[in-house]
Amino acid sequence: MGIAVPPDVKRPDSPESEDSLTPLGRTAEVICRVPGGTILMTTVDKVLNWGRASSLWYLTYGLACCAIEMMCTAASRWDLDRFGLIYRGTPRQSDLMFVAGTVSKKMAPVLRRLYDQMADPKYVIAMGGCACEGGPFHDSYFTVQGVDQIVPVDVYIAGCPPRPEALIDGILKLQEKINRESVRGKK
Amino acid sequence: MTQRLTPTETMVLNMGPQHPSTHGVLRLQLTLDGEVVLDCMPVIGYLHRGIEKIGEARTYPQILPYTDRLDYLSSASNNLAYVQAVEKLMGVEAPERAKYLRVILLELNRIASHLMFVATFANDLAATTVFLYGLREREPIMDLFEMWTGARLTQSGLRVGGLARDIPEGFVDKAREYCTFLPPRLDEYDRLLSGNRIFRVRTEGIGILPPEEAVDYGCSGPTLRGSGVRYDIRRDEPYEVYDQLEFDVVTTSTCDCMGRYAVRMQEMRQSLRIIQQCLDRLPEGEVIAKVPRTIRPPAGEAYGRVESPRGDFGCWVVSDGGPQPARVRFRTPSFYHVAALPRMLRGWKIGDVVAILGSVDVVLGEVDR
Amino acid sequence: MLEKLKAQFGDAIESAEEAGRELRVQVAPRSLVQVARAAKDEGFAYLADITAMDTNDALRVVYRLISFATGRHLVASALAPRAGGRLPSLTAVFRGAEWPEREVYDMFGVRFDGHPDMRRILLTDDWEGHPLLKTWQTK
Repeated sequence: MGIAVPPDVKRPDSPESEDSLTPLGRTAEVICRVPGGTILMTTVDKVLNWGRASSLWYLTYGLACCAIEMMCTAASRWDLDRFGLIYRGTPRQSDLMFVAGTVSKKMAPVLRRLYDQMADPKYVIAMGGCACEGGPFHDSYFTVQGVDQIVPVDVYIAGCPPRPEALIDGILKLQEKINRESVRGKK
Repeated sequence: MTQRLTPTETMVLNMGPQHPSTHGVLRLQLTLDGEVVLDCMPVIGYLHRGIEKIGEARTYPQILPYTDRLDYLSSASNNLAYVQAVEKLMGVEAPERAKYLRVILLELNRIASHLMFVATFANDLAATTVFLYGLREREPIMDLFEMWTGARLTQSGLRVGGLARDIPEGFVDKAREYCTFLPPRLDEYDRLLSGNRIFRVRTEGIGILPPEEAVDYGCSGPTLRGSGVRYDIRRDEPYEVYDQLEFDVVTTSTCDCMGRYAVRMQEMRQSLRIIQQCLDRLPEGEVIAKVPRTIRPPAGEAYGRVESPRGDFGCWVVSDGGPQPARVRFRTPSFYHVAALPRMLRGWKIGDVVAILGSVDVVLGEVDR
Repeated sequence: MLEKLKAQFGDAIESAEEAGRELRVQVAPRSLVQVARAAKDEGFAYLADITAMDTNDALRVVYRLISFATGRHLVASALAPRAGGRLPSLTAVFRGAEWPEREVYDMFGVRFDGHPDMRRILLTDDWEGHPLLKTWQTK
């Protein structure tokens, strides 16, 4: 329907290989060598992923028309709150950034700064054609052709603008993706 | 008793471009003395997409969807301004049925836009309930659009010479139903807001824009009518069938945020009135005139002007005889309103900035183009 | 109205014609401010737009003034060279001229003498070039 989830997004902040695990990841590796350790770590993964996926607080990075559909999705008829998504005005309190709309070259450094201000674990959903690959403005002198040139994207939602149902579908796909994560860095 | 004077400094505070209440990517550099705004410098361009340049590389029909994305809260007004200019160049006139349907589409867009205004304005002033109510009442209009054009927000419902599609079965009944469904709710929300002491204290007497300055800055629409200037393009330069319809041009003379809000609340009721008249008088017939397959207007220039929910939306098209225009220019109301913001913000407090900005109802898509 | 302008400004009005509700005049740059003031006194108090167009020979800067009372549009054009063009600013006559003149500078490179804040408005401050010129190629 137009939702793409890239399987191996290189996240600049997360461990790239087994040798560069976080302290928790290294502890997890050690625990897994002990009989029954894997089961323990899988349970830990499940709990952490459940916590992260069920309460994704999002920063509305509403730039253009897609922002309106995002607001409609958050409002009465479709209601994002029932998925655990609550609007936060500051990146410091958000886990998820919806890039909803066209990113211009003037806005690009701001986008990167906001992304950097979010705390790990953080996710990005590129909403709409403009955020995915430039959309109708693909040959403009002032737009960034796809927000993945600036930040790593977890889910792409096509549409101009995507319907609220499409946005919810994208969020559900992100939740599935989060549930596949593991403390040990393996997917 | 002597009074020791403490030296103070002014502070420059940056508001935006990412901010929940700037209604888009607007950046305001506020110079503050404590809480009082001494000066404000808006910085725009964060959503500049180069639509006017893109217009020179597209054919006339291809430009139409780009016009949707200018003032994305009321796409049909943008469509119409552009289409009017092209139709003037080509000497084409839309059939009667198309004109009435266009007016219905425009007024539905106006109501949707004003509902969004009420929702976000109230939300900015922390009346979050009205945000949910406003967007809920907007959904039936989105359904009507989807039924008719296939899209909820950026409809591209117009074409050069008429409309893209005729209204489907059941549209008229659903539209009439909406016209009876909305007014009691508007009354309720009006009471909820205008009867609320906090809302009134935050909007009455705040953000004064005197009428002569409003005209001098190029303000239009509810921002101008909220300052007492009775100018509405639908009445003063009528287009489509507005000269045959009965409606009031709403103005208030208070020049403040409450005035601008009140104008929009009343305008919604007038729009419902217009829609009902159009539904009653809707003639049979074609919805698009005979227009050649490749649109090549003869060389010349034309200007289309429409009363969008934000004000005076104009489109200047210059043709050189080819299939692509030589110049497309969009004169957008919000551009001039943001330019007038420093005048409206000076002297008020930080808490008023949000109220004043919200009451002017800018859409950054049309400011930056 | 056209007759009044021609009488008052003589050959500074390089051409004048009526097209529907529009009164189209071409004005010599040196008289722009005076023509604008005269028009404002005649009721054209609303500056709808200042924009420009690259006609390949020159830059045509177009001013649109509207009279609320009569519904007429006064469309005044002034020509400027494609590079290094300078025109007088109308900010002393219309407050609303400030921002559109900045946009014309940003997109076309025409400078306005007497403008209080002549710098780019939409593009980044360090941008090179003026995109709406026909010589600018979209990449």
